[in-house]
Amino acid sequence: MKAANSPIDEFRSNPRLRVLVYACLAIITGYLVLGLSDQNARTRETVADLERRRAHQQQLAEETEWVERRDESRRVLADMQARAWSERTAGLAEAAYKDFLNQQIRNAGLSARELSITHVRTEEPAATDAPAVASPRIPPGFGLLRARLQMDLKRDALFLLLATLQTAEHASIVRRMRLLNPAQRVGTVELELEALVRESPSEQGDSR
Amino acid sequence: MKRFLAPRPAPVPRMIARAECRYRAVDLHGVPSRHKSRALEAQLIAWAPFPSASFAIALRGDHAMVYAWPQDAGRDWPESFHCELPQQSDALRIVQCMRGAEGQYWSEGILRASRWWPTLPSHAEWQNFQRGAQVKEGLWQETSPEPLPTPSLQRPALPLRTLEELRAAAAVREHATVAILGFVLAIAASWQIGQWVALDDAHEQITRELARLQEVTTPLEKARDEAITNAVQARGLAQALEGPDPARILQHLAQHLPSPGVIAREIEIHRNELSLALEVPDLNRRLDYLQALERGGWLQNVVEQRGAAGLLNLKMNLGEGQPPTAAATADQPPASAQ
Repeated sequence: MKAANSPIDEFRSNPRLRVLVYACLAIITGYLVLGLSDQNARTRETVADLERRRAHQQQLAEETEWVERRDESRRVLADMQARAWSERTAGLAEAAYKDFLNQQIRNAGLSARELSITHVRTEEPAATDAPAVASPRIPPGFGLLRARLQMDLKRDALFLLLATLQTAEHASIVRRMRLLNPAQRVGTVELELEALVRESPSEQGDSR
Repeated sequence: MKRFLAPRPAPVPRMIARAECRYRAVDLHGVPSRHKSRALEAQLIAWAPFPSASFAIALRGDHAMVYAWPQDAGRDWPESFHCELPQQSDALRIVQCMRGAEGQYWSEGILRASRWWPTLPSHAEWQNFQRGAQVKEGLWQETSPEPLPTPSLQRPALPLRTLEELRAAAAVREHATVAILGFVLAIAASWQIGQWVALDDAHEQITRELARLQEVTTPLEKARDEAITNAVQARGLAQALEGPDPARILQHLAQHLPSPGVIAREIEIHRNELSLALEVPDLNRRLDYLQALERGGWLQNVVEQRGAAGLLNLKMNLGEGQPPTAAATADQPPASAQ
């Protein structure tokens, strides 16, 4: 008998070595198979996720109406923004709003006993002397002009003034109106008006 | 033609001369069957009659009959296996070999002992052989028997195996186990590799399609985001710019103030609240006045509050939106806010 003198001969003649080699190969192969299985599971999840994204994107690709909606929303937003006062500075906006109110009061045939305007910025609390009910939230980039008016009450002139304010290019909202002795000849009306003013420096120019 | 049809003489079988061989009977009694091959192999390796030997192994029951000869002597079977088996299971005989003679002692069908002499054994050699072989008492022969003719069977009388064939037979179980395990692992690996390839293809395909879709959807997404942002901003502006129309509230009040004789001394509209100070003809008919104001449904939660003496001071909430038009409340009794 020839003695095993090479690894191959040793492998052939030594059953324990063979079992060890086979076991090592089986463990390594099994480990690789399990690793591949885990990798496949992860890839399967990724593919499922991508599939969901694809379905979502496909659905979105069919919603071509968003372009029209965007254009429409731009128009609506521009219309809404146009209803706010827009001047280079807050002081100019305040002056313009005061001029506008004086003009409308005169046109209606009224005379203001008192007309004062305050400017409320976005971060400031909206309500000052009437905290019972808060003002609607002021949108970012906008401020609020609050006007207090006191006039002699002339019913027809008051209705004319209110109608003018309601239909003006720049909105003035009546937040408070108080009529004292409306049935008397010496009645008084107190108005508290609010108007939005754009604070964006890029939006300059006289918008009256 | 005649010569062609004549029966051919049987070819002389190729054999290893007994003179080249060594014999050993191996008793495997008590060894588990699955370990017999290994046990026999171990015994033959330990025996090693030549530095490099070939073996002819005949297995019978729990015994192995083994001839060994030098490997360079050839790959044929020893001539002893080309001899007829004894007709009795127990036998003592001499076989004439190609060179010399072989003494054989068979017991229970197993060749228990074999010895080769260059010439027919002498009386003493024969006696020594029988003693060495521990021949049974009934078989003992004082004189050597007539030698059998030289073995001439074309094929060995017993099925024979080499040591390599024995190892291969023993390794069948091992090979089968390795093959099954390898097959299972190969199937599992093939399945996983197939899955991996398929998933990789799917991943690549979906990624490509996603990239194509994103070229289409990116502008749409931007448009959607901008539309939603614009809508939110527009809604915020609308909320800041909306409020009840005081002229319409006064008209609504004029329709629902109880009459006659009721005079409004003070009217205050503050956001969604309306306060009234009324001069009424009969302060004991509060219920009628409150019901009259709530009748339209738009003025809600009408309550009396403290105020100037002699007046009916009321406070109420305004409904959602603008007050209903005169046509919608035409069925209500007319009133006047003087």
